[in-house]
This record gives sequence, structure tokens and C-alpha cells, in this order.
Amino acid sequence: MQGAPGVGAGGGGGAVSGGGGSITSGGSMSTVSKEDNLVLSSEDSSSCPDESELELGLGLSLGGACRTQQGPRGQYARILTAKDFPYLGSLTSASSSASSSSSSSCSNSSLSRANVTAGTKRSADSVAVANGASSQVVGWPPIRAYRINSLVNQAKLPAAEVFNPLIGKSKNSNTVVGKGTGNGGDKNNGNAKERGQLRSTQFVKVNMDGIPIGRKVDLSAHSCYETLSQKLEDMFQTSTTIMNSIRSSKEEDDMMVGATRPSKLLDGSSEFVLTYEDKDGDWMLVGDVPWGMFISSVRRLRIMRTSEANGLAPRSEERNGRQRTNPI
Amino acid sequence: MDPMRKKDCHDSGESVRVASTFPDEVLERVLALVKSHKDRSSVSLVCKDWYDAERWSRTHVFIGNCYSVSPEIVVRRFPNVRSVTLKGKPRFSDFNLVPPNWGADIRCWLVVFGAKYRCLEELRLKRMTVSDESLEFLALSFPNFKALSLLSCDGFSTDGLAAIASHCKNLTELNIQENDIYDKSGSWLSCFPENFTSLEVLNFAYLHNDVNFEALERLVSRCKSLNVLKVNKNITLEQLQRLLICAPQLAELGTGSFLHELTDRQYSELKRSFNNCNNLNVLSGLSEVAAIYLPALYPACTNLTFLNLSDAALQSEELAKLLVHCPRLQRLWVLDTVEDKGLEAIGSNCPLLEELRVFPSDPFEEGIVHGVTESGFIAVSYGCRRLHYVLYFCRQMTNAAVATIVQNCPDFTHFRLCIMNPCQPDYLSNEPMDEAFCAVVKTCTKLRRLAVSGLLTDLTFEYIGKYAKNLETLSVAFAGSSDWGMQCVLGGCPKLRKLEIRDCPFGNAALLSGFEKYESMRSLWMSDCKVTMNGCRFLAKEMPRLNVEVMKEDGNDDSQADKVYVYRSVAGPRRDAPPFVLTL
Repeated sequence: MQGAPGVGAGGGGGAVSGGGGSITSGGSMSTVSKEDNLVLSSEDSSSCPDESELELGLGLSLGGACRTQQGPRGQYARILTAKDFPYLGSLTSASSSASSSSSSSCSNSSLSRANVTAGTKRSADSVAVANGASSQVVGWPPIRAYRINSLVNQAKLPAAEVFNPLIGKSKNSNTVVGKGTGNGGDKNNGNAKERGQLRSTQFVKVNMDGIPIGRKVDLSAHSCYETLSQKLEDMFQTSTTIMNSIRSSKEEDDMMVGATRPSKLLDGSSEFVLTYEDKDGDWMLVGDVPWGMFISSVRRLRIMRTSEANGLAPRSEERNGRQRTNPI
Repeated sequence: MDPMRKKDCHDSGESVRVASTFPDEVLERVLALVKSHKDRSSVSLVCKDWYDAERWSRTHVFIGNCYSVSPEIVVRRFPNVRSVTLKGKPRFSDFNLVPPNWGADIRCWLVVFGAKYRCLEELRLKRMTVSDESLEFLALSFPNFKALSLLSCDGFSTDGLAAIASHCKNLTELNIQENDIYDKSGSWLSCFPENFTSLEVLNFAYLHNDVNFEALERLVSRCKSLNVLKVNKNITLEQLQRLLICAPQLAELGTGSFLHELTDRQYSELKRSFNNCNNLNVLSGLSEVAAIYLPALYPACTNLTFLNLSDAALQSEELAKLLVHCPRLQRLWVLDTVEDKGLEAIGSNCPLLEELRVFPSDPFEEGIVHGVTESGFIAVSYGCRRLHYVLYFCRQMTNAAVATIVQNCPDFTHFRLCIMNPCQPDYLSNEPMDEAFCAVVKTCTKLRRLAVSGLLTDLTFEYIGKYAKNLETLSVAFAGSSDWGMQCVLGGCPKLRKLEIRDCPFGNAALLSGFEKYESMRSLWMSDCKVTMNGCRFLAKEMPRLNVEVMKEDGNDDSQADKVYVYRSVAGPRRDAPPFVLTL
């Protein structure tokens, strides 16, 4: 039954015998021109045999060039660029993410495509710091979204019970894999539980104008605007290196206490103002609605320059009605 | 299927007469015992009588690609179906390579089933889009409906589950696994009526909201046939203990979080409850695990054949201590937090192991990365000689290690190796990983599924084409040097059914070299390769029985075919394709 026109209904090599259904060939077919034949036979310069030797040659230098033994745990410095892989074509490494970090991944074609992919799974402004290339490619490593989300949640545990040094807080949005439905993992953990233990989390992205690397904050660790705002001020005042972010993620466990100092982000006295994007996709000023309502509708946060938040009345005035900022 | 029967029919000179005088009723009764789809397909090809008998006696239909056939064709051919399994989107949609709203909506199937399969009892869906309205329609249209299983589906919320719970009076199975579900609340569980007792399988492990525990406890108590229960993380240890008391007969258990603080008395009660679970074959869950409570489990582990620790961040010693109590383990899933030492413990304690999956705990390298290496894998291969299924995520590998592994375990049927940094060579020799996969395909003659990774040239694919005679599924990413690689695979592997490729330098010549083969395959996926629209159009023109679909992304060169999905179909081109899917 090899080669029989098959139908899934029979599994394996099953066939609908006795002329199942007429098949209409789909769509319009363009005529195949001579040009196409050329295209078919020689489009890929990579099909010439020299290329494979060249490839092996590159492979060796590639190995040599990129494999630096970084400490005991082998973090590989990714210093491959598009010209190491000529067959990946002229889709160049001009992608924004490659330029602003010191490393670029080996598959720049998918990288640059990934940046313009509709239904982006990573926001363009969150850039992977010099880590493994696996974090820069859409859908790689091939792990299902539910597993990625549960790994994020694993990180949020009372330190006394389980110590997990391996999972730091996610800083880029690779963990946001909701298939175009926004923060897939976060919306499932919307409700903060008050049971003396943090069991579900609500991580949302936070971006600050002028800083290309975003952060994530767990809203379920806060119960009022003041502590959240303080947390954000602390986050964005310190430098954004990895160690600091890991340190601050551990400190977050301690940041449950009530506010002791007024937050500059909330009272309008700083040059920045805190805004959020809600479920409808609108950008709103943080602080107008009760905390519980805010928690259930927030999707992500943005610390915006006050000068950009035009048309907003000072917060100390009217509290009813929403102030609408222009959607980003 | 007894091959003798078929042979007799052919060998005797009067085969035609024999077949036509064989009473249909007898034939149908006999064929009803044939369960395997492949066998049934073979049966249906023997002659017209057998085709008819087979179609009348078919009660379960498996459709591996929902677009390969239309619901009308299915119901016309098989009038008595009671159980349907449907798979929709290409597998790479699990990794976000397929844009949302691509299709594979169950609705049009349900409408047709609602008219023709009034006795539908089971529906198992994988990678389909299912709306709440569809679930409600399902719940109301099929009075005998028994089993619903949703895996990797999307488009529905817990409201849909509420409809199922409320209306399906004969429900035996509700299996909600790993879906992109809009989890509004846990109130769906409370929708099971108080007089509802038929449930046998309940899996809500991947839902996040609290269910009403008292309602759950009552449900578990009154469903005496319950033998699979997988609860979500919100169920505490104390609550779990209460559930175990209600249902000591469970064969499969998924725990909630294993973390909540217990008093000594609570701990010993928990241990006693596990002691009473003598039938447990499958254990999963254990998310957020506090290792000090693991010993409570030990009494229940004696008969375990499948242990799923892929949600439990265990360290190597904790795993080792647990495995001592699981002598009959055949399938084991772990996180790479157990590291190579944990894998050595597996090698030492699990001689009957047949399947091992090691998942990465930190796939994006955000923390300090440990994980597993080639030595752990080697250790497992020395201890577990019956291993035939492996899924292994790691950050370093060598050709020599893989050669040793397959020498120890030559019976691999599924070999899925994921070296997580793309294009990474053998870290000791700096050579490509070609020889590793050469060893795999040469040694493992029964290999049916292969996923390759690391730095690979066309040589890997030459080996695959030459040696992998039983290969059915091949997954390739960031590999190969030229069209020749893919041509070797398409020219070789006679049993190839599914080929999925991403980010490889294969272009039109490669695509078109297989055009005759695609009709014997379920599907081909190529994304971010070097295929152009013209190549796809040519393929579509030459092979009218294939659907050649291209997914266009904005902002890219119009002549490039970014994502190509080719599959055979008797239903013609899709009628529900969204604007970004072009059928050529």
C-alpha cells in the first residue's frame, strides 16, 4: 500500500478505495516558466559540493571560535554571525536584538524573522543579555507553553521550603507564550491567594521608557499600590545586570510589609508615571481603581515619562472616571 | 488480525467465490474484534465485501490530520462510529510556530456528528480549536456521551467544562491536559450533579483556579469506579489525604502541591492513606515538592509503572531515595534538576525502564545552568538495557557518548535528542554530531521516531536515508548544509509519514525531490527554510491530491515561502483557511 493516496481515516497507509470524493486541485497555478526551472535547479548556491567542505571548515572554526569554556558550567559564548552561515542567505544580522547585545545567535534568519513575526511571542524591546542562543529563537527549545509557564511559577516558592537556585526570575518575555492571547501564563494565575503561602503567581512585564531591557514583577506578592510602586522604583534604580535581578527576586519575598514611604511614582512628583495596559488593550493610569479590580484587569505595566502622558489630570484631583492615555 | 484467514482467501483458487458466500454477519462479528487501524485499513482493501463489512463494524475512527478528510466523507463511510480521535494543527504549533486562528476547529465536525452519530460516546482531540459553544453543543447533542479528552487544544474556557459537567449524565472521562484554556474559575467542578456517579477518569491537573474542595471530595466519594484522579496544584497535602481515603482504589494519581506544612499526625495519616493505595500504577503531579514529605509516598510506589516527576524540581539524592521504592518502573519523566547523579541513580535502580524523558528546568538559561550532560545519559544506558523511548534535553553531547548509548540499548524505537543550543558541535572534538546519529540509525533498526539536534551536515541525512528503514517521524531543526540532505531522506526512508523541518537550508530542489512521496505521508512541514513560492506552486500543480499551504508573515519577502505545510487530502483545499494561509 505504499504510495496509495491515503487518508488519515485509516491511520498508517489506509486508503479510501472505490474512488472517494473528487479532488479539486486548489487555487490558481502559475505557469512554470523557464525561469522557474532555473530556480528549481540552481537557486541554492549551497547545493554545490564545495560548500559542504567549506561548511565543515566553518564548522571547525565555528567550534573553535565560539566554544569558550566559561567556568565549570559551560556557558557557551555565542559569537556566530550570519556570515558563518552563508547558506542561510542574505537575511542579515541587522536585527535589532543582535546589535544591542554582544552575542548573536547562529540562526539569524529566523531571528530577524522572529522579530517581525505576527503574533510575536517575544516583545521586540526585551533583549536577551549574553546568554545561550536558545533564548533568542522563537519556539526553541521545543517545549510546550504549559511547561514553560509552570517553570516560571516554580520559581515563586517560600525560600524556607524549597531552594531552587536554578530558576531565576525571567527577565525577557520568552516565557510569555500565550499564542497571541496576551500573557498566557499570567492570566491563568490571576488570583492572588491569601493563605499564608504563595501558591499562585501573577507575573506581568514592566518596561520603563529609556531602558531597553524589561523586568517582570509578581503582582500577587503585593496587596496595595504603594508596595508595588516601591518595588518598581527599586527595580529600575538598580542596574539591570543578571546578578542584581536575581538578588532582587529573592528579596521580593521580604517585601510584603506595608509601605513606609510614599511612592514618587504614584504621587505625580517624579518625571515618570506608572501606567498599565488592561484586558481591553487600553493604557490606563495606575491607581484609579481598587487594587482588586486593578489586579484582575492588568496585563502589563509601563513606567512612562510624564511628558508623554499628555492630557492626564493630576492624580490628587478627580478619582472617578478613567483617564485614557494613548495606546502604545 | 489473523493473517491466516486472509491468506486462505487469496490462496485458494476459488477466492472470489469464497469471499462472496461468506455471511456478512459472521464477517462483521469477526472484524469487530480487529482493533488496530492499520489492520482495519488492510482489511478494507481486500475486496468489496470486506470493505463493506469493515465499514459497518467500525466503531472507532482515528483521523491523524483533520484536513485530510471531511466530516461528510467520514460519516458516509462509517455509519456506526462511537469514538473519534482527531488531530488538528501541525505539531510545531505547540512551539508557537503557527499563528493563532489557523483553523482545526472542531465545530464543523460536531455539526455533522450531531446529525449522524447520535450515539457518539468518545471524543479525543489533539491540537484542535474548541470553543465553549462547541463544548456546550457536544454536551447537549449526544445523550450517551462518555469520554472527553483534550490535549494541546485552545479556544475554550472553564465555562465549556461547566457545560460538560452539567449535561453529560453518563460521563466517564474528563481529561483536560495541557491546553491553552482560559481558566476563569474552578466552579465548573461544582456543576456535576449530586446524583452523578459514573466518573472513572478526572484530570484537571493543568487548571489553575481553585475548585470547591468539598464538592470534589463528594464527587470522588460517590464515583466508586473512579480510577484516575489528577488534581491541580491548589489541592494541599491535607486535602489530598482526604481524597485518598475516599478513593483508595485509584490506579492513577496526580497529586497537587506537595508542600504544605504538616503536623506529625497529619504526616502519618498521609502515609497511612498512601499505604492503602495498593493499585497505584501511575503517579504524577508533585509540583512544588518539599522533599521531606516524599517518604509518605513510598508505600504506594511498589507497583508503579509510570512515574511523572516532570513538574517536580527534585535533586539527585531525593530522586535516588524515591527510586529505591519503585522497582517496577517502566516509564519515568524527570526534570534535569536531578542532574547526572540522579540519572546514575536511575541506571542503578530501574532495570525495567523502557521510557525516559528528561525535561529542562531552565530552558532559557536565566539562572545558573546545571542540567544533565552526556554522562548521565550513558549511565542510564548501562543500567536500563530495555530502554526504547528517550526524550533528552541537554546542553552538551558527544558523538562517542551517543555511540555508546545505542550500543547498550539497540532497541530504541523513539530517539529524541535536543541539544538546546542550536548548531552546537560535539563539545570535545568540535566536530559535527553526524556520527552520533549515524550510530543511532545504523544500530537501532527498529527506530520509528527521530529528532535530531546539534551541528549537523548533510552527512547525517545521508545516513538517515540509507539506514532508517522503519523511520516514520523525523524532526529537524537548524541542521543540514544543502538540498542534498533532505533529498537523501525523501529518497530513503520508505516508511516516512511525518517530516517536520525548521530553519534548515533546504530549498525547492529538496522540496520537489519528494513530490511522489508526499502522498504516502501524512504531512510535511517546512518553516524558515529556503523554499520559495514558485517552488510551492510547482508542487501544488504537479500533485493535485496534496494540499500545499503557505503561511505568510507580514513584512517578509513575498517570494519566500516562510512556512509550508503540505499534506494529502481527499477533501480538497480547506474551506476555512484564514487570510494568512494560502492554498496553492
